[in-house]
Amino acid sequence: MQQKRKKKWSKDTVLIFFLKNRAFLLVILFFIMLMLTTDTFLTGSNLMSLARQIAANGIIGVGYTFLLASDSVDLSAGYMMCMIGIISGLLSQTALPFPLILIICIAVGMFCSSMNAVIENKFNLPPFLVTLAMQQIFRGTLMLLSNGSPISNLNEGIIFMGQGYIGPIPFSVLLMVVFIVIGQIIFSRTQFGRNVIAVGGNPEAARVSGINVERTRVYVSALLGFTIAIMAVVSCGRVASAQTTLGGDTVMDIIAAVVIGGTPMGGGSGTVGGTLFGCLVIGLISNGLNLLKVSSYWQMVSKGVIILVAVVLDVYSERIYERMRNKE
Amino acid sequence: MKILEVKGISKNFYQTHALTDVSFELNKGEVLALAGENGAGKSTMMNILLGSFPPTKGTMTLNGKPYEPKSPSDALQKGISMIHQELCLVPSMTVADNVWIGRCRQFAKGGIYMPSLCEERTQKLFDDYEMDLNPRETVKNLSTAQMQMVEIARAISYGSQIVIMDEPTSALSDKEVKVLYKIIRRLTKEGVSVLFISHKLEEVFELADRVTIFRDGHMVEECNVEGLTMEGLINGIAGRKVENLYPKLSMEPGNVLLEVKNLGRDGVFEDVSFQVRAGEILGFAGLVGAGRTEIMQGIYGIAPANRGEIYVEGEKVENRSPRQGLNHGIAMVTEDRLRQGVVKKMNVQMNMTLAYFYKICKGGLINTNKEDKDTDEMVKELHVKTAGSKMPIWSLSGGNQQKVMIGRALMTAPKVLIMDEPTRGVDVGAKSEIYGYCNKLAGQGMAILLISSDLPEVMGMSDRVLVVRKGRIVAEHKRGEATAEEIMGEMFGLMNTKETEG
Repeated sequence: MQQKRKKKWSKDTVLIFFLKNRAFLLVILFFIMLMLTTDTFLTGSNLMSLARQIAANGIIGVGYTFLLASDSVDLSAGYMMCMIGIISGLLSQTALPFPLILIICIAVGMFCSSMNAVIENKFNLPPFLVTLAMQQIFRGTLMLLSNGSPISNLNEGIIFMGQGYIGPIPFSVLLMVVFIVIGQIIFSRTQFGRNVIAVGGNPEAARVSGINVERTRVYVSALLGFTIAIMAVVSCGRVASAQTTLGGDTVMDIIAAVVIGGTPMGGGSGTVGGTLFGCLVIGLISNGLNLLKVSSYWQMVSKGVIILVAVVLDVYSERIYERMRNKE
Repeated sequence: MKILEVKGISKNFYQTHALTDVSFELNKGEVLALAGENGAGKSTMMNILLGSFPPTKGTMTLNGKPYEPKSPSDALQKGISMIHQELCLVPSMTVADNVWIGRCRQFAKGGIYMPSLCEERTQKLFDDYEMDLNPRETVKNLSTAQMQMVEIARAISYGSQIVIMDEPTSALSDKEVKVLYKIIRRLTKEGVSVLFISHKLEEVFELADRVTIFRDGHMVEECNVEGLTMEGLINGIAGRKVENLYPKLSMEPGNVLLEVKNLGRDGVFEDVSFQVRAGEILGFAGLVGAGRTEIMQGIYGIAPANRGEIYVEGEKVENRSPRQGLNHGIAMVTEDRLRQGVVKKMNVQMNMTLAYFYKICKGGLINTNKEDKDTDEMVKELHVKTAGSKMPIWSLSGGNQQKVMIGRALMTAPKVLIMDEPTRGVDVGAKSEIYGYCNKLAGQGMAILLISSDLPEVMGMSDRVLVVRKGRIVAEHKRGEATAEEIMGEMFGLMNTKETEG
């Protein structure tokens, strides 16, 4: 009897361990699978392109981790990124120096994103609706700005952010690492990070405890806007042109990465470091499927399945916690 | 006549023995009270009766037949319904729809649901039991007390043989409690048996025929209420002598710490003036919805007052947000622990430091060493029973979660502490500990504003009691000056009350 009890107890613990580290374990699994099934996976050039691909998602993932942890969501991020890319392209055609272009892009990103939060606060609307509408606004604006055609001849600085190297490491990858590290510190060690978790966990309790919930939400959105702007510039630089179709799928990929990484939909907790592994999972899927010469349509299907599985696992781990709670 | 017999029930949750060898009987048409501290096993017993989970050992017999419910809906069909402690209503539906939820088919004509039939039936039910509710009202517009009445109506509407009531009065004002008493008496007259759980021991005496006492998962005593004394009951529950539930406090009050002059918020409260001194406990008595909580929220800054003045230590302050309240040395333990208190996903420590961590930031970073140290001290100080300050908050019992909430307020080192129903849903042991803190804090020179719907509690604990009715302070009494009946009369507005000035 005693034996049986012990076994059952450890089953939950093992499950929790797997669910908590699911992103990390998935990365290892995919890594081994791809090593065995392809001979091109472990080549330097492939790993480098994988790293750059992840870098783009990783930067925005930092901002999005904060957003999900505060129990919000932003569907407009993809088109906002595209719009900022177009703006950076247009500014490249003027004589403005690169730092100024970057600052303008960041300012636009922070402004547009915080507008989402301001509107949500002011009219007490769900983020889903507001950002759904904003997405269309950004999409239309970017088409108006670009007349629907991509812009090339980008500023040198933009190209460097996307393609440059510092030593052997791509600049964008370095940038991502810096963002992840600083993001994790902000998230777990600062007053702001704690405010975000409290607002996501129980906004009423946070308010009563002296936290300014509305302001925290605006700051979170501004932070997301900042990362969106950086990522827009990096992505444009990578392909050396400001595309009008950039970022269409970004929101899906990012949400998937953040949730797989261990930040729950519904907020209240989160991990920036986990998001990195979430991005790795998403990156490995598309990279691996490319190497295995699977059609891009199948890639879409499989990404969708992965997102679904991630959300199901998220709910499932909540349920296991619930079960452990009931045992108390 | 026996209707339900429970024999030798044990329930283990892996290593934990929640119930051990519990046996009792329930007769037709009687009220059996289950008494015991939080975690004594009452709720587990109820959940087994309802079929939420099966017992590890033991048998149950209903009407002479073996009773093995597979789920709550199975239990319902076999004639056992329950009024839940937590509200289980759909806010966007009407009262009538909520009462008959899941049973709409009986109000259909040719397959189409007719709300009017449902509303008629509900009105009839309300008339029968003298409940004052509108079946057409949407539930989200109701007060908590009214929602609880809907919940009660639903449990009755099944026409069950046994109705289980888990703390049915914790959200009710005295007026509705009286209605509930009537309902219970009427149910028993019709031959329905009631299983009644309550932390308010007066209710046990008022309602129950017999009482079964649980302690640490065992059934320790079963006796008739006749011939039982309050002290006997408390000793049975606690398993030790509780000498005096409300320890008397003798403190010489110091300087005026908080003064409120003509405070008002449109349509909510009006002309509220009072003073409270260092070392003083000022109690607020009143019915649910009288405006006590709203006055406190006005002072603390949750829902700021728009008229009148607040002085802290003689200095005029304005509290437009809780942060401002905290900065002026006012802290509040809020009434609704689930909604406004506990952050479920945070651990004990983060919950405790929620109102305080911003004060220990260095260059934007939280000083985690200090946070750890201060939390450990507070956990020790308040005797919070937890396996460690990094444990999840939900692993704590209700009483210990409440201690964490009090710790959260105390961490801000307030001069004035507002406690809104600090002992609601808390077991006797934790209750007397909370009273202990109140006395200790007052002894250290803090001013405490205590709101409680438990009249003996607020009378026993406070140096002065203010009575609030319809958003106004209608009376003031020093300790021992007025009887419970007098205060009750003032709460209801039955007696001629003398208006007080500050």
